[in-house]
Amino acid sequence: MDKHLTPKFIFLLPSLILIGILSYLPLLYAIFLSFHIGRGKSLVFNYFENYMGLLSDEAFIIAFSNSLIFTLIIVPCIIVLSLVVSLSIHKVKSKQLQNLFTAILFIPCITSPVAYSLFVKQLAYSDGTLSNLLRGLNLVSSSYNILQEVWGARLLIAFVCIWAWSGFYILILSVAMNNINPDIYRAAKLDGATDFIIARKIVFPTIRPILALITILATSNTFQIYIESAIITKGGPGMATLTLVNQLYKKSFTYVAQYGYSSAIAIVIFTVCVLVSGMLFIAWSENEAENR
Amino acid sequence: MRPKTGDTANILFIIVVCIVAVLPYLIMGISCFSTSASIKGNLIFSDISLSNFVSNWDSLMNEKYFLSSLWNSFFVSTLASLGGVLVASMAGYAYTIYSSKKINWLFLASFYSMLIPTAAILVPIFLIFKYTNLLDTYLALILTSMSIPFLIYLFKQNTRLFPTELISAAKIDGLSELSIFFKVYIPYLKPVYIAAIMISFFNAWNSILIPVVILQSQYKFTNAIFLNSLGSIWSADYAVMMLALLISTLPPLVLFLIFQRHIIKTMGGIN
Repeated sequence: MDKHLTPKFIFLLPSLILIGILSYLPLLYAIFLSFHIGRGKSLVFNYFENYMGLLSDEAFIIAFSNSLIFTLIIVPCIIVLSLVVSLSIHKVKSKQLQNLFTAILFIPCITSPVAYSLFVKQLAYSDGTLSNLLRGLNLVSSSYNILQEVWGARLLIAFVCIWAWSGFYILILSVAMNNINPDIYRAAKLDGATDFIIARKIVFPTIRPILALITILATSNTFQIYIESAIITKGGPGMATLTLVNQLYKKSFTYVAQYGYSSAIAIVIFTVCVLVSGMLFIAWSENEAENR
Repeated sequence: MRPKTGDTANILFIIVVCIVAVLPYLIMGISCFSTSASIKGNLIFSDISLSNFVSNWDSLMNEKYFLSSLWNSFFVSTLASLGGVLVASMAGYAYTIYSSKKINWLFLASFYSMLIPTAAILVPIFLIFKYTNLLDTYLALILTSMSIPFLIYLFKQNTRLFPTELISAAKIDGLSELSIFFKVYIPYLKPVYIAAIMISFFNAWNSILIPVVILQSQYKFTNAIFLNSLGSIWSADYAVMMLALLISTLPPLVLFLIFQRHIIKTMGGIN
């Protein structure tokens, strides 16, 4: 056997090769393509033209702002909801009940996005249940169709995502809260601390690093929102729910494939995700340093 | 001591949230005993009967690619999760056991690849498989469904529980490095393996973005792609669709309910 082929590298090599070929190589390839026009052998270097094109492309600007709108609605809702629910679960005394609740809330996370999106589409489609429910409650006029309203469609998709993804974050937060030493609670209660003070002074500081991680994950996931709007609204009404990934997919695989142009969109998505993660990470580590 | 009423209100609140979480499954469950005509636009289903269920079932089974899509998903997800967990756990093991500065760089490189959005590499992945003539093959699908970076992190975090004395003991017994991994490490971390296999199975079962680009032949479609194509037919029967959604949701759901204890514990370990 080759001397350099130590067990270490037998263990590491398969994963490094797979990650290299299926993550980093495609990323470099996307960067390369984003500076080119054409396909296959007729690929021509065209400097920043794809990126300049994005700036004057109305559909791209709309898609970008829609992804931003979804992120700004969905991420805060998910974080607040997960915090409130996991704090409530944490207050339940029986460990078995805690596990049961966490497991039930996790069920949407193992459901295929295609399946729940189709379900919601069926409920929301013009003669569907959802619009009838809103009409029945007298919340909207008789001609209201949720999929034809800009904010109706957006909020519907936002609601679906919050419903589908929160269980994952609730699970992570619940386990983190359970790792807190129970003696600390007992001591706090002896000192007469209320639930609110315990949550603020004991639970919150311990889970703050995890909160930062969750915010990064939720932001990056939401910015890539795709299948929900592709199925439920097809990006409509008009372009009100068209997201960046919808637009990327359209440019690459439906009409005439424009790989260079769609790769420029891909790089924008990548850059935003990395920047947001980096900013949150830096903010979090500065915060940690201050509190030390 | 907390007042009793506060506890009751708290539990009631959680129960309401849980009901909202599972309501869609209940609606799917009721809808498949009904007919399209009676569900459309209604909240209360009037026409519920077993014979409706039978006829919905029959028309779903007549859907040419439904059953084959379930089997394809099962096949692809099983191979992807087993392969991914083996590769990732080997790496997670090595990153903890042989920890050094150089090795740590490799770990960070694996870890940060999680930051690359799937959407951003969609076109390159398509082109790479096109040039290697692997488009429309299960091999391409399995390779892209493995979620290795996340699993490496999961195993690295959970390997902290593994007592290193076991390794020195096994070395004294004359076991090679590879057999230590297979005969000592894997049995010791069995619960983590079960959970990791389940989590990556769910990921593979539910993934849609890359599979839709890779697969082209209808008979190879996974369940998610099949549903996706069913959804674009506007005339699809409402009640039959609900039955299809329910059945497609069941395999991951049943696996989750069986192994939920392991899964929740292991997922918690990633903190």
